[in-house]
Amino acid sequence: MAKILLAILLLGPTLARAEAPLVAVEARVTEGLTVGGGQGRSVWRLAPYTVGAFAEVATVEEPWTTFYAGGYFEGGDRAAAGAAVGLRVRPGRGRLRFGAGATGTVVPYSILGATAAGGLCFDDLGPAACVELEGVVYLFGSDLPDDGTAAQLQVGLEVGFDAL
Amino acid sequence: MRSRAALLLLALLVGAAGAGACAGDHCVRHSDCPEGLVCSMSSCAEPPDAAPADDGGAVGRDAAPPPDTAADAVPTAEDAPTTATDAEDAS
Repeated sequence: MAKILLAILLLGPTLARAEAPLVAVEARVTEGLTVGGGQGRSVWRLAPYTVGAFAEVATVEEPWTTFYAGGYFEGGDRAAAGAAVGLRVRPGRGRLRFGAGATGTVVPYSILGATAAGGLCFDDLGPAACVELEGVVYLFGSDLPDDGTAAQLQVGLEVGFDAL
Repeated sequence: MRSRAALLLLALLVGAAGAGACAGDHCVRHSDCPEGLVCSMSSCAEPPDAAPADDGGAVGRDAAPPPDTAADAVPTAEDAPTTATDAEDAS
């Protein structure tokens, strides 16, 4: 049984999905690490967690490309809200997924950045469950120190439902 | 192999998170700091313009010239025509 599970994990990216949805909605939580600093010094610390809701719409059939957009709440030792948009590509409509886009917290402060992500989705049991590793480079915003830079590496867990 | 890589990544994340928790008041973003402080040089500190404000607006007083200075400006203005007259005499 363990060998079967291991084989599924290893071959997962190459197994085609049964049917990709045209429109999907998903709930997403993220947590990770943020790094920043400047002038030869860097600092790592736990990033604020986010909880969000997103919609994903298929835009290109081959390679399977979707546009996603949604909003999120940023919590932990703060309370803020933001939004994210981007594109995702699933080569061969498989489990493997890559994405790139923009994300930004806008209330009560602002910090905007570019994202790149890669992950796996499993939807054999109904709702799609995805795990994703996402990197964020913050480019500007009132929350970004003038004398430093900031980036974030986070793990995202998603549960998606087909809408169409 | 991929499972090992995932476990290694998870261990790195957890370890780094632990290190970050020990980072004290180090910050990356302004919102990492308590209210009223900003993130500067990876540490939470008073905003740069907070100190002058605590001086009771000293900068503002300096910006407006004191009465004595204004009085000094009048003779300077009177000096200008004198200089102009001198220039005409010279020609």
